[in-house]
Amino acid sequence: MSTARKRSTIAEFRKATKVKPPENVMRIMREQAQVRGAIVKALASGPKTIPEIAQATGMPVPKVAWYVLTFVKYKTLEPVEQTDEGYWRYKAASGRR
Amino acid sequence: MSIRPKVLYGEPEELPEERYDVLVIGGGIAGMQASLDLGNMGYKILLVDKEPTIGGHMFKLSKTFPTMDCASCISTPRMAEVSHHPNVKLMTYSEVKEVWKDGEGNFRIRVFEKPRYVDPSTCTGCQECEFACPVIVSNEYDWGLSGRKAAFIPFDTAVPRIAMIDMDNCVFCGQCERACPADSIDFLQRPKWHTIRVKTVILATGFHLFPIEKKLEYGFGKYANVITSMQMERILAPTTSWHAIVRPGDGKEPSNIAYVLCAGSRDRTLGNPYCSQVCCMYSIKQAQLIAGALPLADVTIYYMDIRAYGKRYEEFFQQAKDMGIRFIKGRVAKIEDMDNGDLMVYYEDIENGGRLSKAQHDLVVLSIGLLSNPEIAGIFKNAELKLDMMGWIASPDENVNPVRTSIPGIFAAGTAIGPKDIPDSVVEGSAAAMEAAAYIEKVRAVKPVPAEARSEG
Ligand SMILES: Cc1cc2nc3c(=O)[nH]c(=O)nc-3n(C[C@H](O)[C@H](O)[C@H](O)COP(=O)(O)OP(=O)(O)OC[C@H]3O[C@@H](n4cnc5c(N)ncnc54)[C@H](O)[C@@H]3O)c2cc1C
Ligand code: SF4
Ligand code: SF4
Repeated sequence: MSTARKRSTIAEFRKATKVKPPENVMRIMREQAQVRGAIVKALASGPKTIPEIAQATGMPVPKVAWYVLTFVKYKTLEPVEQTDEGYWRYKAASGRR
Repeated sequence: MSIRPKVLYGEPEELPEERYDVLVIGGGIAGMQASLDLGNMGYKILLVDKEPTIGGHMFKLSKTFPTMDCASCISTPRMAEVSHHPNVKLMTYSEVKEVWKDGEGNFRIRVFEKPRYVDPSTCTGCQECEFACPVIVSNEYDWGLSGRKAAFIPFDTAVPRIAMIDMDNCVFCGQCERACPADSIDFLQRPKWHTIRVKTVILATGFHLFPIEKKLEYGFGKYANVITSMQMERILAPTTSWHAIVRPGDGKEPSNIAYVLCAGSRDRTLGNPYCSQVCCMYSIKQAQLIAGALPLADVTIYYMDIRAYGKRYEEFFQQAKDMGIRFIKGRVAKIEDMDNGDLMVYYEDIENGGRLSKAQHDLVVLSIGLLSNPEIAGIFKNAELKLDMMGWIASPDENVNPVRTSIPGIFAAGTAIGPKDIPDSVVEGSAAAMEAAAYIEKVRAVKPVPAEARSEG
């Protein structure tokens, strides 16, 4: 990380435009933080498949699938092993970001 | 696939006029080929693409038929060659808004460059901003298969590999700026207007994918395990963001996959009567890739006719049959989902007297067609770019000179002219480059190119 930061352009931008964070995006962001927390919590007791995470969290299976695959991409989760039925089990990634 | 910001902040900056010999619009495989050929002949080229990266559709594909070359392995070096070529200037995330013909060999162009809110001269592409950003939205560069952040790099192999901020989905928290080790985030960046003078223009603006959600009977967008062939390209590609071949509905490895050919092509009910030319072959390619990756999986292709017209295409089709891929001649009438996420495919079984049959699959891939990109005609302000009745760029001499357009000095290449595969797009890229060079030399021989149109060097 550089130590001598030039300036905070976001602060200047916010001051100049007086723009407010869009309500719908704020809502999505808060919901995503909850989804992520719920999935990580569900995995605390051991690796799970997507349908098992959906059951533990009460969320729809396709929604869990989309988030799990995205979280794997961002290294929040990692695949562990495949079941005989062809599902993957996931766990929270060790170097989680 | 396209990122089109709704709001842009800051007054656009007006930049001084620049001169080039040729403007190439569109940095897909056809536009890259034209730029490289002309650049190698010594002409100065400006290559403009509306997306934050060049490469078009090709570099997002898995492999290419019938040679099974890795698409990104063959397109990425070409993208790098374009971006490092001394005679080619690249302008990405920019739109050509106006083309004025001021005389033969003299075009005045207005290009609008959108801000990325990232300094391209210092960004190292490290993705720290992306990991730090708290907002996830659907990733248009993966056709929605997974999410991306509001601060993001569109693609691992993007050229240029520079981050950008999606301001429509930004909550202005500043986490990206704090995480960036290179101080590259710049929320004060403004849009730019460029005025360009060129002697000739090549249109290589490619195609759109057919919006198959319009075919309600197929349930795309409603049933999670009905996907498009482009999504399947992303799942199978070495640059995929997924860790395995699974179905999007529940993460299960598919074992019985159906392909529905001519989805959105040769279908008068959808206003698309023509054949998209590549869907048969890319579906056979994907089926072979799946057979290799998931040897226990069954793959069935529902087709009307197989159009394997190119060099070694028929052999490629026969090879697929030898690999155990099933071909069923029949038009799919409708698809319904089942409780376990599987799909019931109803089809007209032509080889068995045309009776209505049904079959269960655990993943359905819709082989979607290619649509024209007619918006390009709107940029010509004092000349008419003629399109054919389906919106593809029309040539006045289609049989003898397919790359010519209705405007002398404007040429076209690739799928901007009509549906075609990569080899034909490349050939047309080279043909348009030759025509453009011949046009410049002809104008030069007849009368000196006006001083205001002359490029430096
Ligand atoms: C699912 C699928 C699989 C395929 N698989 C194969 C295969 O295996 N083998 C094969 O040979 N072919 C395959 N094809 C066909 C192949 O993708 C095309 O032949 C090829 O990509 C055409 O290249 P292009 O340069 O003409 O267009 P594109 O790839 O569409 O590139 C056009 C470029 O122009 C830019 N652009 C558009 N409008 C503007 C504008 N107004 N201003 C600035 N820039 C603009 C776009 O951003 C893009 O970068 C496949 C197609 C599909 C849909
Ligand atoms: S300022 Fe915007 S882009 Fe940057 S981290 Fe926050 S939400 Fe993401
Ligand atoms: S903007 Fe900064 S953090 Fe983001 S990729 Fe570029 S250098 Fe890395």
